[in-house]
Amino acid sequence: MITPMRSIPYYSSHINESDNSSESESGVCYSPFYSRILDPPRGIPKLSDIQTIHTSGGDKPQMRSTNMGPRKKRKYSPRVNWVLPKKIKKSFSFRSPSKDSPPNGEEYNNETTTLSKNIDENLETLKHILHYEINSDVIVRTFDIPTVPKVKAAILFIDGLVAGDLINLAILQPLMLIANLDTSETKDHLNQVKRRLLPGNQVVEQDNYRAAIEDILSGVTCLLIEGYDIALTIDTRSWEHRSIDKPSSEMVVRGPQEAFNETLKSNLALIRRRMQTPDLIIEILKVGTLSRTDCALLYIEGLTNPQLVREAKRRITRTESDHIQDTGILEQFIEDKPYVLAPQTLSTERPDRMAAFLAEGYVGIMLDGSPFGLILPATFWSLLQSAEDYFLRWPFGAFLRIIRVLALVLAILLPAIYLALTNYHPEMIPTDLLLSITASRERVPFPTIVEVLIMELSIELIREAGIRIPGVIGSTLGIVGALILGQAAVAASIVSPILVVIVAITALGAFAVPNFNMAFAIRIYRFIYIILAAVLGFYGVAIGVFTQLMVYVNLNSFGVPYMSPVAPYTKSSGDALFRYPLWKLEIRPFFLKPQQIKRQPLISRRWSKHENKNNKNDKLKDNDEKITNKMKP
Amino acid sequence: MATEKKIGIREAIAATIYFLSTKLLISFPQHMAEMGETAAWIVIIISFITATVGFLVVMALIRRYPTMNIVEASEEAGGSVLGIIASIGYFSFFFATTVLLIREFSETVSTALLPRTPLSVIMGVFIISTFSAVHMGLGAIAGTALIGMPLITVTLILLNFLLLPQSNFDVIFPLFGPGLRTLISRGISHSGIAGEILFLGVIANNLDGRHKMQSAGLISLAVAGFFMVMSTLTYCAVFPYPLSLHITYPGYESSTLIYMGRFLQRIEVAFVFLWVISACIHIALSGYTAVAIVQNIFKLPSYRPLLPAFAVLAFTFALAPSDIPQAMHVDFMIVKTYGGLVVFVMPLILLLISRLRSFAKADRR
Repeated sequence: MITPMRSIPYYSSHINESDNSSESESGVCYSPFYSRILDPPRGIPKLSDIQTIHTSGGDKPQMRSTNMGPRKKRKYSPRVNWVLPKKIKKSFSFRSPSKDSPPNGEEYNNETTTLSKNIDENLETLKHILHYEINSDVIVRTFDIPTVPKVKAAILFIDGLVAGDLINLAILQPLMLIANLDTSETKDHLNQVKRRLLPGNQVVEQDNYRAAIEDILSGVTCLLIEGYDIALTIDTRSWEHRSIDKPSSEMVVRGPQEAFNETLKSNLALIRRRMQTPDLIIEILKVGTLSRTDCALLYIEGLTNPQLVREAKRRITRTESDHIQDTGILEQFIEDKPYVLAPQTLSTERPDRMAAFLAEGYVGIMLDGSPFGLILPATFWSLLQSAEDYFLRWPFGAFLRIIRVLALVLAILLPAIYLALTNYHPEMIPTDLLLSITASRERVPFPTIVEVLIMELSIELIREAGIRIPGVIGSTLGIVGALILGQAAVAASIVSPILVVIVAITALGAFAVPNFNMAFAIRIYRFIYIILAAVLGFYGVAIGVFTQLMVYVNLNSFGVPYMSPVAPYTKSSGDALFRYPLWKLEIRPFFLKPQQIKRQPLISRRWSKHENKNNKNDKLKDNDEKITNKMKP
Repeated sequence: MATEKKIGIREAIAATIYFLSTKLLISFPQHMAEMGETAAWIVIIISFITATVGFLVVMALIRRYPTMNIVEASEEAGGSVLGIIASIGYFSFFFATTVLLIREFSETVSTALLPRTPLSVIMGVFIISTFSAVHMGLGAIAGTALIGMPLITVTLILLNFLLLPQSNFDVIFPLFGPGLRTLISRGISHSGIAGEILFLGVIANNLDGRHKMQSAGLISLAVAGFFMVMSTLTYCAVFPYPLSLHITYPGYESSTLIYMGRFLQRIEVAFVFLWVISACIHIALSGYTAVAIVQNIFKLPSYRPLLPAFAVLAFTFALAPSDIPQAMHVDFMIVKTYGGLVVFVMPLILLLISRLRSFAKADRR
């Protein structure tokens, strides 16, 4: 039995929200508006039971019910019920989520409510969905295309998300003033409009409300023409946004000075500019039932492990939440073990870093509105790396990495070691130093643990306040606070000068860790170690280190062991704890199981002595084959 | 066992080296001095050679059953009764090792680091952390061992190197101490000091690259043997023979002698810090092996539900020795002496039975 597509709104007159409890298989979440029209009451076929079929007469998809008896006569006429009664219109809300109407994504994903040929009906429905009466930024402009006879048309867009000039010049002006459509040969106005009158560079035909609404909400202008059940969506997106700026949290001295901003389009362009390969795939997914945020999944086709891509996609699409507006939020939904302090994804604001990771076989995630991208999976070692490591010559890069490991150890353990030494093992401190420490602590009335906690908490307060206080005061507060507070605390004999030095070195160590999330984790770990040292001295610290190592080794990020490639050992170029010369980094990380393991030939500096010697090309070729064979899984 | 993550050969080697050599950090050198007097290091060489032969026997048994570990292979070779007796023997060895190590390391920590903290607290912390590690699984423990491998290597080499000024290698003479024959007999009878090599047989099914198990075992024995010989030799050179019999914590006492100028002295605490981590890895490995054997004996799908009971048992048994000398005596005079019979001779018997059975089967055909 053929069910005309316009029958869908009719179902909404029999809404039973409590029945709508089916879970989305694909995991994509949709608005209650969509889910409501999918669960009709008993006797009326569900939208999910309607198959899209292509009739031989045309290419327009039609729908047919699969669970209705073939000879049963329908009791309702969709055409009659097309105009929604007021009562039903109220429940036909796009924006009022109901707790009883869980997302019903898959059905809607497969089947959509198609447009009508009647422009008034289409306008009415779209206006209703967009709450035109009360939404001040929804603009509807009706006009006639000057043909003989005139054709009624309308555009819909969201004010503020579009370029007004572009609409005037590239849509309204051609359609209203210079539309000399030749109607004698063909009556296909739509095609003529699309081909001859819309100079916009992106014009897409949409045949259903969902697609049209999503386009409108993303800043696209929707053009409706009388007599056509197709909406033309013309890209007119333009809004105020921050320009591309310098990185604020991943600064480098040498290397690119561009950072992501809040506009997905420009962020993707920044990456695309650095990866000029057709194999760079950017898949757009939607996250958030209300926010419907564009989420871009980036990977290199033919290089990145497809299982990793699938897993990333699966986690993103299976995330059901109403409002996801930043990668920091998305990260918390897709990470493996939320209760482990260690960050399990790598966030970056640098397009060059994102591109470099993509080239290694990682997967990238960008979110519209977020100036930070996510790189999956993260390993412990990657959190200690900086983009600058590669821009500097290898000895400097390797040196910086060693310094960072030292910084990490100091940031986590230094106050705990100081505490353990002074409280439990003073014999280990050289006599002169011990006398100096004792003399400086002579007037301090507190035990060392209290002293340490006072200073650590003060530093945390200064740091947090420095971030929250706006403008110039914020940046100066850190220095002023640290100096004055430290000096005053020492003068007041609340803390000893040696502890100020210890805490300052610890803070510097934490700042030297290049990953913001990792630095955060370190701050919390430090307090745990301080408590362990206070209770059990070096023994407690050692037990803590052992447990932390265990947790890290046991941790996975998107199926990849967190401590890879060290434990478990996997083949990799020397680019984890140290950094070897770039020409020695011949293979990609094996723990990612990339489809192409070889990054460069065994001898990449081919201009060197090998080039000038005879028969060396064969040797180079042999070497290339050797490395390829060696690295086969 | 089937649910456990597989580990690579490198992880297995690292774990086995830890398993074999961490006992250096407790009273092992002193007991070797008792065995071999000035030639304590030769006893270790002989013991390790014997253990290597024993390991090859274990390998021969496992190779007959390519899909089984040592527990399953023992049951298959010796039937349910003998197989289970063998498995209980293996379990007893590893459980006793776990318990005694907990006690001995706790005593060391108590002496070296926390003299005023109750022993039960130190033991409790050891047990909680190590059994949590066992709960995380073999992959986590072996991975940590691999990360910690440079740690123990550097520590041992540094320790021996820094003790060179205090060493007098003249005191290792007479070279063969009580006589070569005595050394050989004592070395063979103490092959149990490397009995932990059976660990590889227990985790055979968890090895990614089972065919490399034999080479992994041989490498582990060689490296651990080198560490032990080197450290015992240094110990014998630092503490002359009569004195070497009376040092309760040889590793700790040795490290207290390190003197690197006026500023850097008394750095034994830094070494103890690293030893605690090594001890945790060792206890976690032996605890894991013990519960994995029980899991195999009873064919349980997972060993994890057993862990709380095992932790309580280990804690209780670890408190049983009245003092540290008694714990050491049990460890070296009973477990390490008769352990060789259990971990090497028992598989030999099972191997012979298995061969006889296959011969008989072939004759019948």
